[in-house]
Amino acid sequence: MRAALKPVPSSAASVSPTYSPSSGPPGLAKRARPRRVIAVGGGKGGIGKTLVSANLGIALAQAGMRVLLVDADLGGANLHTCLGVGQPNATLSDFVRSNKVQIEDIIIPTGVPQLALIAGAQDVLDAANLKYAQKQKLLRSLMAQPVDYLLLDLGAGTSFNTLDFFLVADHGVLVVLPEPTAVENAYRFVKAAFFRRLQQVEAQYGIEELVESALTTREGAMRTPHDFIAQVRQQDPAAGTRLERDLQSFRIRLVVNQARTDADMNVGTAVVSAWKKFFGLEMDDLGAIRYDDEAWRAVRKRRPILLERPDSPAAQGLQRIAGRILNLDGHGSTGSSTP
Amino acid sequence: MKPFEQQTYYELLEIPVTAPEEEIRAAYTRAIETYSPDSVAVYMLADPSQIDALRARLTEAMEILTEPDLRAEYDRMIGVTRAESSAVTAMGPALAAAAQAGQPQVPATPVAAPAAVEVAAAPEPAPSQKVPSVPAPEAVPTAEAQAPAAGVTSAPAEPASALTAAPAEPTAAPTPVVPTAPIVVPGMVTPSQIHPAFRSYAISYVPVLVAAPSATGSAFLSPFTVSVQAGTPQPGHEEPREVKAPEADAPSASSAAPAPEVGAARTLLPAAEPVPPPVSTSVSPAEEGPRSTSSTEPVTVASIEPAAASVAPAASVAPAASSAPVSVAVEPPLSTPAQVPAEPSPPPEPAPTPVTSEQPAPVPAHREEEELSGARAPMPSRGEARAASSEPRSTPPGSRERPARPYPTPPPIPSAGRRVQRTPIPHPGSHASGTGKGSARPGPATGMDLEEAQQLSQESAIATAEAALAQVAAKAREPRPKPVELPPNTEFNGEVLRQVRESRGMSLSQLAERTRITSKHLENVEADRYAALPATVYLRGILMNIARELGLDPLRVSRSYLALATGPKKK
Repeated sequence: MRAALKPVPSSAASVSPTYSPSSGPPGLAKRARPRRVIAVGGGKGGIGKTLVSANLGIALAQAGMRVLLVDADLGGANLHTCLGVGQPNATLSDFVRSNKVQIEDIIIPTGVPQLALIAGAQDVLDAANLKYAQKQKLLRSLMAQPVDYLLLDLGAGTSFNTLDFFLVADHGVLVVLPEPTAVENAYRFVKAAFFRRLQQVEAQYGIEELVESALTTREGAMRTPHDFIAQVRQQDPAAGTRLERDLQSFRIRLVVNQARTDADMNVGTAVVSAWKKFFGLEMDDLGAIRYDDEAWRAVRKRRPILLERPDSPAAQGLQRIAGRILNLDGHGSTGSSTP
Repeated sequence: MKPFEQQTYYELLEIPVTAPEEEIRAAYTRAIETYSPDSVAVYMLADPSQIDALRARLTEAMEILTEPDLRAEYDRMIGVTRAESSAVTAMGPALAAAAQAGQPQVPATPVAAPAAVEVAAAPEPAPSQKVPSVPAPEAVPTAEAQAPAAGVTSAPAEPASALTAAPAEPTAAPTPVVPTAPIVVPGMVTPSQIHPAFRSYAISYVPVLVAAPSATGSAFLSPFTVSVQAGTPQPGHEEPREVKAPEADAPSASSAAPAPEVGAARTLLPAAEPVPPPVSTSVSPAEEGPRSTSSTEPVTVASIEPAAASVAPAASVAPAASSAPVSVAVEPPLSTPAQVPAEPSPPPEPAPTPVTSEQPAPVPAHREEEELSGARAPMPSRGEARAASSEPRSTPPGSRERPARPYPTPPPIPSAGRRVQRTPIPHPGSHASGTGKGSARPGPATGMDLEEAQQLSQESAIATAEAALAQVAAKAREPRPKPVELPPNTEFNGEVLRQVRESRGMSLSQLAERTRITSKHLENVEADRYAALPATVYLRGILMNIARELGLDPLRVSRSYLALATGPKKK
């Protein structure tokens, strides 16, 4: 996804499983960077984004990956609680507030091997309203981390900060519950992310107006990628094709959480299908997580369910999801660590 | 990446091209679940109408793909559609004919239209095809004739054949001129015919679906699926005029058409079968052209459309006549020996139901519209068009009357809300300005004054609420009297209010009753006994009510009055 943001999308960066130092902008080529960035979002609050992030991080770490979890839920950070870390000493706000604090200073261990955490802002009143420069600095620093997976736990809502974190990821993981409220917000979130993404390339294709209307009007919000591509193609067929390719890289990974019935387990497939039919874009169904009282108990104990009850249905669902992500990245089932 | 309207059936169902039937059905079931109206997966993702359209298409996809012959054709056709131009050339005449048929609009081709219909219907399960020879309206024949010549042979329909339509009205006595009974091999399909048919689907899809989503979907397919031969004996007649056909607009109409017909076919089917109706052709009043209708599709389904059948001579409506819709299945390749040389009409794209019956024009021809109408019911306008198209032959294009589609009338313009209310038109003379500072303004200041503009901004919050209130009140109450003309900056004290009330011919008690404010308060207001008035909050409400009842601008009145009422106290 990130690669696609650049004028010339290098699909290799997001597709090729192997670490290629040459990917990314020239300046960054030599620097260390996470091999993969995963952002977990979903639009609605309380749907388990944090739980998914925490456990996904653990599962990936257990698979041998070096994982850095970042609580990017600027307004309501609690990833540390999910992991049972307790009140962190250093948080994102320290980093954002002070130039003297390095990103490394706020990385704290989680007790799980290979899994580190950057806790979210606890106190700063306006931490949720990160300024542009701060956001850039944060992203830059995070992107320089030499880990296998950088996992961003996003907040609810569709604020630009949230969307930008989401868009920066290779895997935008969309968490949804099989209920209308969550689905509605999820679609809104994804569309917002999509249009935000378009905003980043609009000038290139001369579709500013269309994007503007998509972002600001109700009718505009009903637009689909087809409209944009058709518009661009009208003026310049080649650009239209380029845009189409570009947009196709906008590929959401879907996770259905709290599936209570077998029908719920299949909601993911249905959403993927509907999304493609009506929006024209692909989505990957990473799988569903069973509704599980164990998960709730684990949260009460402030222990990740993956460690607390690894054999519970929810934990197994999470493991499967982690497995699919590894597969997508070409790691297969064998978790070898980075070179 | 393409909108679902443009997806192939396989893409729609998300199955490989090689999927076996069970898989198709399973995929269909799954998809219908996914896109059911209460499915959570599509909640807020798309318009309900879009979802309906999608479901209609899914049904269509399933029905076509589960019918081996149709599927085979469709498979072939997918390739064709992709390279339309080449296909066109290849198919040559047939396509051209189809094209013509497709555009029945042309008056000249009334015949064509029917032909098209027939073609569509074409699929006949029945082994035998009948070609009724019908005297066709001349004009038509020519056009069509050529087409048929190209490649399509029409099989004369035989009455005997299963297809027969049993016309209720024998009277019409269909005289199948050339009843050749070529037997059509069921299996045979004429690609050329089918293709156009499919193509029309593909092309027309969207519009059709949109129009009558659910109904259409199934309707479309039905012809194919249904293996029944449709005999369409249908009682209904149509008046010749009804035939609207000519208008059928090309693509959309044509596309639409199939659906309705199909439906008709279905409905008819049962009835038809039993009776071996003579092939009746409706006679075109004008001339009798021998016509053979060709039905393209072979085998699978013999749906016959009664509708196509008879065309009544223009004026007279003979109910009786109609019965004889003959369905003819024509196969291009044709084996049929006896083809009607004359004018087999090439099947037009609309693949659906083929039956055309022509009857020598004994008199008034009838169509059996009923069927059609029934079928169309869901999609009225289209259906009609379709029907029309089929019938056109007989009717002169010009004459047809088409019921216009109802267009939605634009909603009434909402009455202007507050602006109106609040602009009292200042007339210099009208009210004595005695009251205050404000002397009447000279000009007829129709608009708002500057002062008002300022006020506006201040009031905006209140204004919204107040406007809403005012509207509700306006609805509930009798029409308000026309605003009194007051100078723009009249100061509203009790005296002015009293004068206005009196000028309205309203007594204090009437006002009290209408505003539900006790007359004691009203008296105090009019007497400017500020000290006796309730607290400002209440007073404001009272003033606004009074003003509203008097046709004054509530905001101005309350503001002005309150200024007077509270001013002295402060001092």
